[in-house]
Amino acid sequence: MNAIEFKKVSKQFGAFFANKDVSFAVAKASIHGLIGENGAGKSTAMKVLFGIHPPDLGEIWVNDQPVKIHHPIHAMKHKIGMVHQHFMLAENESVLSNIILGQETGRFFIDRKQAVSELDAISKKYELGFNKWNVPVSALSVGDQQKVEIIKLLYQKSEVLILDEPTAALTPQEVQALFVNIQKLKQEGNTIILISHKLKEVLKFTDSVTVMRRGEIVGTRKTSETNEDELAEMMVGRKISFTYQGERKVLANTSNLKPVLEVKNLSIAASAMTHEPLVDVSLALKPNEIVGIAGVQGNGQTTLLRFLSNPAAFSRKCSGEYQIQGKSALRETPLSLRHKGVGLIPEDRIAEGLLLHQDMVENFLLGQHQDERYLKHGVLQRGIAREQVVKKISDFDIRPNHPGIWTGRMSGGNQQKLVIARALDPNPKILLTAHPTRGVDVGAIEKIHDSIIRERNQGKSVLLFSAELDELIDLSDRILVFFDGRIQGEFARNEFDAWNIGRVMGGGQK
Amino acid sequence: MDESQFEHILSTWVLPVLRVSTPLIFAALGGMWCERSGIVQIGLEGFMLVGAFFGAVSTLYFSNPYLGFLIAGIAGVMLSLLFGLGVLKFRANQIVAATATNLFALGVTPFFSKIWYDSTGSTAPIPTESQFKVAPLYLMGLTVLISTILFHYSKFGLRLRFAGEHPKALESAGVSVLNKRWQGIMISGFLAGLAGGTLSIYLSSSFIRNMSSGRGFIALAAVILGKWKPIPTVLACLLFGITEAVQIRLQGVVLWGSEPVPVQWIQILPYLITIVVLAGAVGRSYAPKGLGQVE
Amino acid sequence: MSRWSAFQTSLLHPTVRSFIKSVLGSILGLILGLIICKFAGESPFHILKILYTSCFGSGYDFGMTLFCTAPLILTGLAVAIPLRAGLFNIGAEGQLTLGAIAVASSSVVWPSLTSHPALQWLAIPFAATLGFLAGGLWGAIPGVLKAKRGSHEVITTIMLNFIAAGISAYLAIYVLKDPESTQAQTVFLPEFFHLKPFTIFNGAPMGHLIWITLLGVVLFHLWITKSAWGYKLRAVGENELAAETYGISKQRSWMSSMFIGGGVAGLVGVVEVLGNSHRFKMGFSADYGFVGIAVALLARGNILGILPSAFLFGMLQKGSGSLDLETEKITRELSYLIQGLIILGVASEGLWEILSTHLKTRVLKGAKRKNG
Repeated sequence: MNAIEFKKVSKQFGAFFANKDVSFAVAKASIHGLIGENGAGKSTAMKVLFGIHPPDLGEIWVNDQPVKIHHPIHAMKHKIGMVHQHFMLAENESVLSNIILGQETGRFFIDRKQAVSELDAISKKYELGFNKWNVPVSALSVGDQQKVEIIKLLYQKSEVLILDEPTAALTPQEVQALFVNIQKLKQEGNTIILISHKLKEVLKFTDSVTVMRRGEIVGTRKTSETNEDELAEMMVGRKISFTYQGERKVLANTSNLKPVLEVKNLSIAASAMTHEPLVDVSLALKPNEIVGIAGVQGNGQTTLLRFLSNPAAFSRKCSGEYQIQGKSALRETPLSLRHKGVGLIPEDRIAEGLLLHQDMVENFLLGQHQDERYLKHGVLQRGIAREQVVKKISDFDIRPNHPGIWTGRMSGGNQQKLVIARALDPNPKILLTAHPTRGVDVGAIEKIHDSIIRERNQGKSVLLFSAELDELIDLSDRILVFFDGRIQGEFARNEFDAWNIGRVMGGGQK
Repeated sequence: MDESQFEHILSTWVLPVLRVSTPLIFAALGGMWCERSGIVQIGLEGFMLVGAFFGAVSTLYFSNPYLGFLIAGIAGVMLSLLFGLGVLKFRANQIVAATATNLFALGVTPFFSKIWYDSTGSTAPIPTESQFKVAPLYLMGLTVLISTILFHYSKFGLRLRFAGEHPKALESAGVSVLNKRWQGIMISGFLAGLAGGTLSIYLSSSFIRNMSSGRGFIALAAVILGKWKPIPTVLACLLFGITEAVQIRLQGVVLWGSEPVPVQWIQILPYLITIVVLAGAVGRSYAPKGLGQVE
Repeated sequence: MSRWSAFQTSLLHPTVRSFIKSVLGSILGLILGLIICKFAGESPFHILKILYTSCFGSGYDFGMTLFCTAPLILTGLAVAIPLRAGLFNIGAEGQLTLGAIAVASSSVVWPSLTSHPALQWLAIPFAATLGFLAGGLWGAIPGVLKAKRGSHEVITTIMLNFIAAGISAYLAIYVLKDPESTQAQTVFLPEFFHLKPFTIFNGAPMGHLIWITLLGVVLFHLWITKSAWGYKLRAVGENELAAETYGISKQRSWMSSMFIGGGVAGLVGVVEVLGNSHRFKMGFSADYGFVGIAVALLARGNILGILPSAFLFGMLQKGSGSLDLETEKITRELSYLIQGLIILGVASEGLWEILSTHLKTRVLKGAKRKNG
């Protein structure tokens, strides 16, 4: 019997298919892995199942019956529960309150006694060894908070438990404990769907595994009949897209050139500012080279980029060395880095890169508001900036071609072109680039790749953070793979191989 | 301590403090419920004002303070509905909408007093036999009791708290956040309306222009000082009540030198305490996590 | 492009849209207010006529209208400038109170001003500086608390309003009190502190100050839109994270905008003390600080927009003063009621969305009918 079955489910956001003809089945009382790169559609599929995004097409069957799930309430009625990657727990409230919310014991007043006895029974039945019902959630470790989330689902009598990246924030010991508990859940007849990108975990703990890629199902395998190599290949696929056609110029004697940007033994602990720690990271960036930073999201890349673009903000929170052109850059701010020839294309152009309620000229001035070309005698030279924007519009083919348009009204690709044009405007020697083509249409991707390679060919250095392996393989001269805050592996261009890199991204060795 | 001394202390200190604290406690509990549901509430002042006015008017009309008191609460609810409509339905900024309702209340009360009593901003005096003797004190005690119990032990309290602490968790538990917020707003309207009624029917004998005179904001300060919890909020109100009582007692009293004691310093104490508390870590870590957030 | 579709496109421009919203919001508020008057048995047209005559009926009336407008321009700026940096300054009332008492205290603070005739030309600039500094420092407190401690500026500014009221009352009663007066007011400032009103206003206390105020607004507009400093404020107000990513300190923007906003509110003291009463009187402010919120909101943060917006509310304030005398049933507080309705109308984003989608579907339907 199948606990869950997807039958040709499609979910569209605008013109973009987040899920396309997704079909797979999850056997009852099994642990089923769902793997894929960022944006492969696995989270969307689970949100469809949990009723957060109702499907556009297709059907979902629960226990071999077709059902309609248009709201989390429906999912709960069909005994489907989900542990979100970011826990749905109120920190100031007690564990008990968090668990029973929505299905409280008692009529009008909460019957805490009964709730505690029910919870104790659950804890005992599944051998969870947890009984801190009355402490506030904030006093619990991440591992215990996750336990609370699972108990919440069991209390709601969920039989299908979706766990979204459950091991992301756990220590190895906690991971081990979690999977012992999951085994117990399975033995009691529950079905577990495990969303993960860590191939080792999936291979070790699941019964079967479904691989997704670009919104579609690549295939489902019995875990006992597959291996790391096969799954990695399924996950990253073959190179199918945009291979860069242009020329890759190589300067003479690059090996003798000194690095323009160097990081030595950088460690940054996790804190409120950075959820992803960095452990002993060293890297060097030379002229005329693109270094790709690969890794599944959340393995330290974000912290690295934030540190590199604003080291002063980390002044008391990091150890290690950071040099630009051979000089320490630990105290630099974004503005002073810009003076030193560092350009930035931030991770999230909407949140970090744009003023959506301002026109292109205003946005072009962001970070350049003290550039002497645009600030004369304390007055911002909008006219001059506007001329530059007009020029960039034609250079980068930005549409609509009117500098007075609000950036909030432009498409993602055109917003990104503007951000890149702005970063390149002061003619930087080093370019920190994150996800330059995320959410960008195919036509724009080519233009953006062109401009990045062009910089490299002119002897510039580019650090390219990307979640698209194809993009990294296409553009980079070297690739560094991040895993758990460390550099897990380095690949030279002649070693590039998608599934091998994919394996290292999942925590394997090169 | 003998009995007469005890009575003396009771009548000169305890009772006056309780009396002046009563409107603060009503309003602060209302504010607490509303803020706990995730809505910033700086409109208590306005709700109090309409409560005070319509409470006085209906007490005069029905010659019954209890009915007047109830209508004071209902008047507060009516104005809170206008606020809720702006905030929850039309997505107006919570602070802006509250500022608007405060101004509206300031304008609407003299408007009716002129029509009904031909007076710019006050009602006719309420005859002694229609005035409250002590009832609001008991009602206040009852409200504190009910609020505390509901807040800590009822399903309603739990769900409303989650609407402010973690609205997404509440929504995914299948409970409407919007409903809880409407309820929070209406409770604040009702209780702040009662606070206004206390002012006009109990603490004085008529409505006068702008008679809430900042008490709505003191009540909000008490909510912050009380870390958004019922009993500490009530204690904060009592603390502010003490400062007000002291200030009334010291009015014109010469303690040293030849000048009367400057009561202004005592007057600003509640506000000063609130700022000090806010500047410490307290104000940040105890506010509902989802306060003021609109999804 | 046809003229009609060009017109439609221009309607999409954000500035045009917010202008339309503001105009519609004020009309809506005014109409609702007049409807309420109708219920009270007064003819809306009669009310409008009284308002008009009261504002423009004579030179004196117009001067008084300007006298009501000037403080609102200042408090409108005091709210709008921090608003551009993303802060809600509810504290203009407290800032202007302290500014006014500082202005009124200037002859005491620097006694040689009064005794040396050669220094007397300095009197007015000195008083104005004092007012600006007092309001500015008072405004900077919530800015610093927000930047350093994360305290919410709305709560702190509200609290500081009451504290300012207490402090000014203390100063007016105990420290600077006019010994010859029974009321809580400060000593009378000497003649050379007084601003001269225009004679055409027949005694209404408004003179060249109005030009200076207008010039000030234009300068602030240029500062916000053209200078790097203004750019930083706007960037922080629009997107804190993006501003920080590109090296703009939000803390500095918050503190400086609150200092300047508070300082401008403090200048209300110049209008009132130097222009009109020549001393600080407790309760002189007709809630200028709070109406300033309405002024800034109606202008939607646009600095030049503050001028018409403040004028509208100034007219309401002046005009409604005559309602007490000239009508049976309506009082001057009608202006508060209308202000509240206008703010609510302008702030209700959702209302305008509902209206515009409704309008769009009707226009589309109409176009279909024409084509089909």
